[in-house]
Amino acid sequence: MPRRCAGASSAREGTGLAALYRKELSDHLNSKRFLLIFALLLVVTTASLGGAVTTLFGGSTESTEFLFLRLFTTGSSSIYSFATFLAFLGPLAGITLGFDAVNTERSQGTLIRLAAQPIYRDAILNAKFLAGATVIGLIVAALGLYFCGAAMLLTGLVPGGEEILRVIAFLLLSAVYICVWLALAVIFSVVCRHAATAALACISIWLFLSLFMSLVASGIANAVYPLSGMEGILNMVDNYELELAVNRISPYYLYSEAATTILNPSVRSIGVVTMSAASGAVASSLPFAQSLLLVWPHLVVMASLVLAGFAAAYIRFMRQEIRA
Amino acid sequence: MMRRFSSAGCRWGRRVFAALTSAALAVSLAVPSLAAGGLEMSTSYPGQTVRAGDELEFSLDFDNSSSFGASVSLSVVSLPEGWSGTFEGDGGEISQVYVKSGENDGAVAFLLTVPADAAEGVYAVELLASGGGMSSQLTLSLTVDAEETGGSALTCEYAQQEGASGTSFTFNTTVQNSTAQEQTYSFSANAPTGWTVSFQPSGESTQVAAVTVDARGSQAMEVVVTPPNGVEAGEYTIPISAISGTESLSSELTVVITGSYTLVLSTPSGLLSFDGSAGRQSTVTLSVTNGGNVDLQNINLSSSTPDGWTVEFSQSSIDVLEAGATQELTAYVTPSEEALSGDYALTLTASNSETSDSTEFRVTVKTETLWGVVGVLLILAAVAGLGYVFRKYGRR
Repeated sequence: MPRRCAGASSAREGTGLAALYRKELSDHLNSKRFLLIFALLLVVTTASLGGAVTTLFGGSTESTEFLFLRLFTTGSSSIYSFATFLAFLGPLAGITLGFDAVNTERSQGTLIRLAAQPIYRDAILNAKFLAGATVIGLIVAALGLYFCGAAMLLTGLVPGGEEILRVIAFLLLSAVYICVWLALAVIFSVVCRHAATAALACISIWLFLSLFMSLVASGIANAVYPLSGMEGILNMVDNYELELAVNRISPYYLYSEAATTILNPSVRSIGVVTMSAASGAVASSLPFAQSLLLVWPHLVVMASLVLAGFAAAYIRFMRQEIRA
Repeated sequence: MMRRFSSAGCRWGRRVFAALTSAALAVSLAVPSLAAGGLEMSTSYPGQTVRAGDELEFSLDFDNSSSFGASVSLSVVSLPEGWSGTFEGDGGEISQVYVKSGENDGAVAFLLTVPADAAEGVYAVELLASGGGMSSQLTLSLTVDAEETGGSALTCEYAQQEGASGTSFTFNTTVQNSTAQEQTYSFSANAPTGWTVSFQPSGESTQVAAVTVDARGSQAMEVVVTPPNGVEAGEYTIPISAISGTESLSSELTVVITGSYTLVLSTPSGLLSFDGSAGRQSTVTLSVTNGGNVDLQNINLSSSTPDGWTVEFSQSSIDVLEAGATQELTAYVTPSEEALSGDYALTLTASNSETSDSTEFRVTVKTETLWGVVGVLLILAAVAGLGYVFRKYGRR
């Protein structure tokens, strides 16, 4: 979608966006870095599918409802599920595609030459970001199709209409999630003069938000609402809600929550479920639209993060002196 | 009619003649038999009232007052036209009996068949026993009486039956044709509105409107009475009749419907699920039906809900619900603010002191699409912001 829109507008306005976009895309697809990250994700996908099949079909399965979807969220004792892998390693793809977008051009002196061409200056950044987003879309689509195809071959399961919708929604969600990290990487590529600095900054943020955010969240929650002593019992709900709120700062957590809800129709709430809310509830699966509405805020936040991140990088880039 | 009169006249003449001859014989024979110390033929009940078509058996006793036995010839002296009679002994037809000296009780049976078309009146049958120089005459006086035969009738074994509404009642009835002709009776019943009465021969499932009964015969019939749904409790009398060309038979069946209390809580469409959203009131139209046959008083409506839900009714009780009547009312269901998306079970109950009905509803709590629209608006705002950034900083 963004590709065609950008292409159409560039053809009309003649800003050179289309040419730059095609060049950036071919650069990405031919680079060893892309092949490496794609191969890594492919191996991980295969492994997680194997783990899921072993778990779901090895022992006794209690229910066969939405079995195809459960392949996405089921891991084994030694391997994570596909959704978990995508949540953790997906950001690496986004960072890889964006961390050296501008600063490498600058340090190699090609940015001045590029800016000397009869094109608008913002076309450079737009093309880089759009090409990155396109590659992310390709990766996610390829991995998703590969996973579905291999799963159908291995298990003989055929996804139903609702399952297909949910898988598509999950893949779209994944693409938006990885684009958040692309936007972050592009910001750092504009801000940092050296590609290595940008890469390190991105990776440290990625590791912090993915691995340590939960520790920080529980630390903050425990500090504000202590769980020890008599008041601990009273604080339990507040403590959990604060921890959840802090955790949700991290796109990793947002994505994990949304992916679980989309892929598991029996998830009926993403917040705290009180005893009173659960009373009288009948075990049933939500229709797709209802699940989507549950995670709609997550999707909106992530899409907004992408737009805001890109806007920040854009403003910064346009204000920079590039001839120096 | 003319034929009947003339035949009655004939019979009358014959009867007078018979009476005269028997009197003459009695005078002529009684004296010598007494003198000779001879034979006396008798039966315990020489005069009987019989029905047309009957077969009668008279046990004949012989008293031989002479000192020697004798073979006695038996004969029928006179018999009304159409009647038949035979002497039998040990199951076989006989013409003579050996009468020993002394009393011989029950030695011979006289079988008399009364024709089916025998008219009312008094008939005489004369029997003669003679042999060994002795003879005895016996006159049987038979009265054919239509009253005694009972006439044609429509009778019922158990004419009064009791049951709840919704059951059908089967009356075993018998159509007795006591006339001499085959009759075709057509049936009719005068049932209250809504009731159905069907006639079928016993052991058959065919419903018939009329049945042909042989002369002097009977036909067992089943009369099936089905009350309408929701019939009120009480006693109902259903006159039934069987009418042929010459006869009109009638009988009365009584059905006592006992009271039943049934309350049904549902919705007019029968759909027991509806949608709602957390904290928002949704309305459900309920229908309360009195399925019994007795008016129900003071029906209360109550609910058993998940925690935090509220259910209100447009009216919390129904004062009187007539038998068979349905009343619609509205329930206002407000799911809890904390309700999760998905299905909840909710039980609504209508009850009074006699009966109650609980219905479980499935409420699907949905997140309102409004929030989806808000989300789209937020994204549009972000895109607009980006557009502003483009306009302000781009194209330099």
